[in-house]
Amino acid sequence: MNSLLTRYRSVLVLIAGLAVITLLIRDNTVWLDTSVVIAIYSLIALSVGISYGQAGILSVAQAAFASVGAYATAIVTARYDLPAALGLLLALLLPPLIAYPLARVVTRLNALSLAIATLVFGQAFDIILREGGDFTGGYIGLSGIPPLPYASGLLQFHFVAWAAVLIIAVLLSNLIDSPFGRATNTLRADTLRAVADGVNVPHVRSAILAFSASVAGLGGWLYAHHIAYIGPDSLGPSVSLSVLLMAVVGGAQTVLGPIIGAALLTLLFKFIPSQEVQGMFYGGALIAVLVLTPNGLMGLRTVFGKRAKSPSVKAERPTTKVAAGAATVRGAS
Amino acid sequence: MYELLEFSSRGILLGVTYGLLAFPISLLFIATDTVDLAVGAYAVLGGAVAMFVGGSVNPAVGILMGILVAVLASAAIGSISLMLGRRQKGDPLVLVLASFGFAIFLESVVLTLFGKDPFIRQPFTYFWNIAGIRISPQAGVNVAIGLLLVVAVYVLLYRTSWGRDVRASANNERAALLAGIPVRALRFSAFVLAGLLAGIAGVLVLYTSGMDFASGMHLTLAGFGAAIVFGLHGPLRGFFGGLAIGVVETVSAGYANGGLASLVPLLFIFAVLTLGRGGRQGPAGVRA
Amino acid sequence: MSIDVAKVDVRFGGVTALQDVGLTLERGEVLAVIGPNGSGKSTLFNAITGFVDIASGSVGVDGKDMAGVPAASRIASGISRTFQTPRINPSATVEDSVLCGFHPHARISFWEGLLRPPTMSRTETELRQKRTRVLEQLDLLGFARQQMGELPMGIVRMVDIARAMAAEPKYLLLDEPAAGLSKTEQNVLIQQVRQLAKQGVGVLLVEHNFGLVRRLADRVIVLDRGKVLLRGTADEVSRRPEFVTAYLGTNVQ
Repeated sequence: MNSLLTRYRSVLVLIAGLAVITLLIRDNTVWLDTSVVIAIYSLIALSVGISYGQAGILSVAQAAFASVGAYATAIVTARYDLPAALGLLLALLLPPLIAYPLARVVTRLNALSLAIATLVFGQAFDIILREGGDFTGGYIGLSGIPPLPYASGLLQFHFVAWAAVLIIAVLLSNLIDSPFGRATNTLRADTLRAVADGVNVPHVRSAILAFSASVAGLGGWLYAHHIAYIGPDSLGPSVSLSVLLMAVVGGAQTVLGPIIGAALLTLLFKFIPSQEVQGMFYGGALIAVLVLTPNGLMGLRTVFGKRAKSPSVKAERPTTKVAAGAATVRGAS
Repeated sequence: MYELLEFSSRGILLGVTYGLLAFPISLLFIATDTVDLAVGAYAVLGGAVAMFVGGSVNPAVGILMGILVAVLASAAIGSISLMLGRRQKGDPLVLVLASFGFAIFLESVVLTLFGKDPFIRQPFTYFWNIAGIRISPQAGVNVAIGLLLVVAVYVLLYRTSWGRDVRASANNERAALLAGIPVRALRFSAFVLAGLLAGIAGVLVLYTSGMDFASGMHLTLAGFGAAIVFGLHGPLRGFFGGLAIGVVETVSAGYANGGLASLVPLLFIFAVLTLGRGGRQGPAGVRA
Repeated sequence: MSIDVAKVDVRFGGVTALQDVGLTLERGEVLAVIGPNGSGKSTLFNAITGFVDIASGSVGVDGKDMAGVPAASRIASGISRTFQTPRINPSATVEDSVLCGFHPHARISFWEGLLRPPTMSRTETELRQKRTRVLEQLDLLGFARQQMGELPMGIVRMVDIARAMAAEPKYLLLDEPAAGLSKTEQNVLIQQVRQLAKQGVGVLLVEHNFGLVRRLADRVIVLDRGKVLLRGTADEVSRRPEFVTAYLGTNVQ
């Protein structure tokens, strides 16, 4: 029982928080709408938490994976009148079908190549969308995406969206507390150490990226059915940046971190005067966070005395005093 | 036939600018062991300033201002890189992330200050006619400047003590520090030089095919593609990589679809990443 | 059942790190590899475990040729190794670090990690019990909850060894395990290695401390500048003049 509580602590906190918030905002359409938007960004930010936080994979295309999900459901429901459930299936399956081979095929073991590969994918997808003619709606995008049949009201959508977040939070909590999750964390800190543990590094990296792509796709599906419109700029590179920021601000390696980051930034975003200035805000904030508090808000817990549960994002080479100690000892003998 | 040659010559025109962007990317890779994704954004910033200052004041002043602004932008990221180096030792991805943020930041600056319409300067209203092929004199300018910079960068990297120190510290930072090489100052100077090169490239792109606020990423990727086709450690090889990509892209744009042609640099990069380099690392990535 | 290294060459861009090296490590024996710095001892480890490519020759494990088998697979099939400079995560605890060593025997699939089927809890509990036993064997139980970065070198090395032992390997490759260990810790190490050998584990040991080698190794191989210089028992080898010449400057007790 004790280990259950530890493993799902974040989920329980989330449920408690949601219960309170739902009670407070249930009659307020503006706040309900904001809540849905936060849930959607939470999912995409969680996908960053999964790839970057757990495995150290820098993917600058998480919004592109979300966009795959959004476009998939838009095309399927708005153009072909098929049920949204099919859209959901595609939104969950297509992004990992792209992500897994992408990661496997980039042969070198280093993380930089994979980061570049995600950048290439994001840009390529953007171009394909814009040149997609009637199929993707080109520059104009697709509108008239129908709402979800079982969640036509805003309060109901609020429940659906947050249920999705909770499910992913549970799955992520499971993963973190499993051998696969431990292998993932080892891989993030030190690839050679992971190999020496017998971990199949390419497979683990690819599986994690695939999982994160699927979670982003889920966020995209919700986005499409909430906003009822999707265009190439809806979930473009600057959204990829903003979700990176959300995860990093909140604490990429925790389950709650990306959700907190998403909430914080969505609320702050309301105060940004215009769309053009967004990029300046997000870019500047990201750099500030990276320089000042690389472990984000959740990482501040360690500053106040509690020991960090998961390893911090440290160097690939062991550069601690222990390594230095080894050198002096050997010299002495 | 003439069409193909014409497209190719236009491709060389464009390819020179890509090759010029390969320099800062390789240079920074050599100096910092990571990739600066904002290089294209410095170029766009430089081009934008050159355009609008050039329009209101004087083209020459515009060009100088543009290059200066690009250098300042690059210096800013250089300082950030030094700050990050202190906090997050040796994780190359953090700088990639920060540079991605900076790229979007600069994109937003250009959008806010200069609007979303594309801009271009085409002072040459006539064409040369070489053996029946129409070539813009801009091609001559690009190639001339390109070759000049190839020589300059070569001399700098291989014939000066600065270049030798940069290459030494890239190879082995600890040894360089112990040898008294000011690694941090070198790193910063590499960023300044990269900004200069990116700014010049940006001005040339402005005069060649023009740009808009969002061109930054495309230029970064084109420069990166040019740099890695023949290996990231050889900035001069990047020049030829750029020519290759420029020609393929322009020819595809001519015969196929213009929009899809901008996928070309991306395909080059993906091919190189997939096929990999045999190389100096063992199967698990262990260095000798 | 043995590890068979035959006529192995390893080259890194112009430098020949190993030349025509061969050895056989039987299950249940302790073989020590000694030699001055730069003689290629760690490269030998890397070649056997697949961390570097061999230019020629062969590495076979239990009769199977390892050509083309990636490092992680070799490790997962029963060869564990430690590193000369322990690779650790400074903010992980001792118990978390050792738990990672069980990877080859844990339920490692992605889907099981994600969905946590009921059988997983049982396996996880078993692993933790095994971990406690390993920590006990190496006298590390008292440090279980401490962070690696806070611990002295000797303990860190023991944890590295615990991690390698956790995988219940058929062959254990220890790279300078005794460096920085106190006399007590060395005794624990010697006891553990003897115990493992008795249980049928083949141990390959790189060690500078010849006194330790004498107490522990069944056979010894001396490497010098990438080539095998001498083979034999510790006594035989120490009497040869080439050994003393090659070994000048290192700790010979």
